Amino acid sequence: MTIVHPTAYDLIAAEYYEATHKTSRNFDVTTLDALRQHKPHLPTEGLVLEVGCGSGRCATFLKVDSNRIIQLDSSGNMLALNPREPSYLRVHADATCIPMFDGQFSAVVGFLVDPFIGLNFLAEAYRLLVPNGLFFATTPTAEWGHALREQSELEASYATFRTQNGGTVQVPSTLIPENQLVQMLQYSGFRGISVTSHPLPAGTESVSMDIQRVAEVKNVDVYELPIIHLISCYRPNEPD
Amino acid sequence: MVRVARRLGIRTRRQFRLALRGIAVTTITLGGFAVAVLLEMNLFWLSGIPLVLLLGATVFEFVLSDRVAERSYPFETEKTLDLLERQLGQRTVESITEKLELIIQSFQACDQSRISSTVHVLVNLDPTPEVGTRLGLLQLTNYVGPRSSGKGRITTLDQGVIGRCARTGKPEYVNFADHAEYQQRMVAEFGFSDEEARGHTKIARSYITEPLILPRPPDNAEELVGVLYFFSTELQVFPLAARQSDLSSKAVDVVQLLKATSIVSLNRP
Repeated sequence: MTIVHPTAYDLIAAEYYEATHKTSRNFDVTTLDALRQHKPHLPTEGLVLEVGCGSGRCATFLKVDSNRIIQLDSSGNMLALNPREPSYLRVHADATCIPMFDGQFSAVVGFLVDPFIGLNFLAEAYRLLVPNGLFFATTPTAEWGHALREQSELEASYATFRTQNGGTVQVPSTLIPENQLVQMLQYSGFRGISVTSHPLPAGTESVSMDIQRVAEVKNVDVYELPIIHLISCYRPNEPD
Repeated sequence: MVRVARRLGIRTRRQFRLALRGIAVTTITLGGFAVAVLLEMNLFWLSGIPLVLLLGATVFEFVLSDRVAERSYPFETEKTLDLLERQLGQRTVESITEKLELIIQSFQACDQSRISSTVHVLVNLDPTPEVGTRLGLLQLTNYVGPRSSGKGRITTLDQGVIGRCARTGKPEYVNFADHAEYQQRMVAEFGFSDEEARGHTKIARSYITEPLILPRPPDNAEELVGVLYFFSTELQVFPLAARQSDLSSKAVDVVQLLKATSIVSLNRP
């Protein structure tokens, strides 16, 4: 039995999707805009695993039929959120140790995978995909996040979530530079790797202070500061 | 107390003992002076306060401080480390350091600058009434990498991922998603007390160990003599970043270095 360690996301699940959390909502609109420009070639058949699903985004962002979606999250409270996108199945598990057999998914997707991205997660995604299966993910850019977070290595590895009652919750968040992301994906066996960077779409109202602050520091317009990466690649038919 | 001492740069038992003596002598001197001044001013009752401090410092220096020093910096451990370091020699330390640096450079798809490494050797510890023969792991060198301290630290075999490696005789690795998981599992799974775990680094996330095995004559039976240890502050580096590094053959190289200086036969019967 896989033991899932309680996560910080259990503490923030209830309010994570509130409109008041502007940074998260800014990520949402940026993702939608980026997907209009770079629509991934999602297989039309087969199961789709959505990792770190929260309340589910696969149908909203990628228009996948709910009967194909397996939602996975390490936070029980996130999996229990209601309302949520419907799915075929919900799995409570750690993204770096997924209790499923190899090669069952035509796609593994994740939106804002920074809480668990790393070589072990990428290896799991690769293992679970069928040949030519798609891996698609978004993650905040290191360019934005490192400028926002404090300089110490400890503080740089967490995102700070400010709760509605005025408290703060630190959630694990790994921000990886683009070149290292590509290297990790190649090392994990993926091919056809595309990593693109995307800013907030022009004209977005209600820009988060976390984005405004970094834009000021970098002396760029808030609509020119890349805040998320879109990652797209596939498991090759035959390993190299 | 040991943590404070190490932060002040006190690394050996001798330094620690001298520090304690310095504090005691300073307290005794100042206490004696204060008593003399207060007696001169006919403040007899008030002079009792520095007198108590003076007496306390004297008792500490002559009765307790050796025991405190022994508990914080066990003499046998320091003697063993001294012997090992003299036997090892500076050249071998440099060779081991170079080997560890090369191994780190062989790790792939990770930020190598965030990886630290060292060698632990198996040593005899003082027996207890319950356990006649006790083994531990002595950190032979300072860390290679961003952390540069740690030499001389002792870990018992029931603690840590290095203890697990020493017990199983197999490569072991462990990953933690965040510091909260680290703290919980260090206590529940890896044999540390809550306080001990809190004294560890808060930023390391991924660990891997490789056993150092020495074939013993006449039948080349394998005997564990130490552990190679790597950790990264980056998530999920191990075991995959080391997949193509052939750690087992690198471990053989390190064992040969230690064997050439008789380190691995020095401290075990």
